[in-house]
Amino acid sequence: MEQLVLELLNELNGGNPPLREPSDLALLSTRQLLELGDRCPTELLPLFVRFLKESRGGPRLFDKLMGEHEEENRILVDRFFSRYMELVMEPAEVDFNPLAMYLLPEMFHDLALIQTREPFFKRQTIVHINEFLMLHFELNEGFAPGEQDQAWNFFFGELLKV
Amino acid sequence: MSTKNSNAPVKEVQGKTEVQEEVKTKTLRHWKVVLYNDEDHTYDYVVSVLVAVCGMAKEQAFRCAVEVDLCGRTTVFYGSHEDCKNVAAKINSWGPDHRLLRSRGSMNSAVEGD
Repeated sequence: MEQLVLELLNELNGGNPPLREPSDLALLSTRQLLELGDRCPTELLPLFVRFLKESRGGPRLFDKLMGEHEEENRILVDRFFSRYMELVMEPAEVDFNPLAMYLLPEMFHDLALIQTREPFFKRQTIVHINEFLMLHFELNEGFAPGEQDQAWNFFFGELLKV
Repeated sequence: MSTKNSNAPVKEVQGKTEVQEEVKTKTLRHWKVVLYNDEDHTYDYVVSVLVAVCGMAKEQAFRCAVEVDLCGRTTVFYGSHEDCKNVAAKINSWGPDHRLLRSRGSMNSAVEGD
């Protein structure tokens, strides 16, 4: 896979300079790197970034990726980060309950794991917390806004009963 | 005697001034919070922490996430020593990344002099 991607990057780069291994990406000039990133298909951007990471170019390489903060590079920089962000981040608009998504019933027996999720649980809205608790436990009346601590105590107490 | 008496307050004033200067320097000196990379947290996690704790825009936070991934560290906040300590404490107690089962703790950050 690595070799295939390198071949593709060479094609996009016109073979100048030739990229024989991921570390060669660190040898590209700022403009060459940004233009290569711009030509790279969006779905391959994670691999492109992985290669950058493997090249161990460090802060110097990241400076290049930021276009050395030069105005003339801003469009390429913005486009690169925008495409990459859209690809790897969770979609913001989707309305889902994070507790239902990430605290699955099959995890409930692992109390040590669940305990590490306390800060995450308490950061959720009370609407999502009530929805989650009612889904899994007998909870007649939901908790009021601001009662995240009590909700957590209820949740963990229920797990301890099992 | 009179000389001593007249000098004493001056020394006191000088002493106070030096202490005040030291406090002022420590308060105003540029401090920063540095976030360190690990393999147990996602970009989503880094972005949500930096937006919530450091008040960054999502796009700016994402660039920090890429930087910490590529370089191993990134500066996420500048300010007084006190403010930096508070920010680092919040980052270090944010909790694990709920998206990854293997994630069992917060990311690490530290306060450094600029």
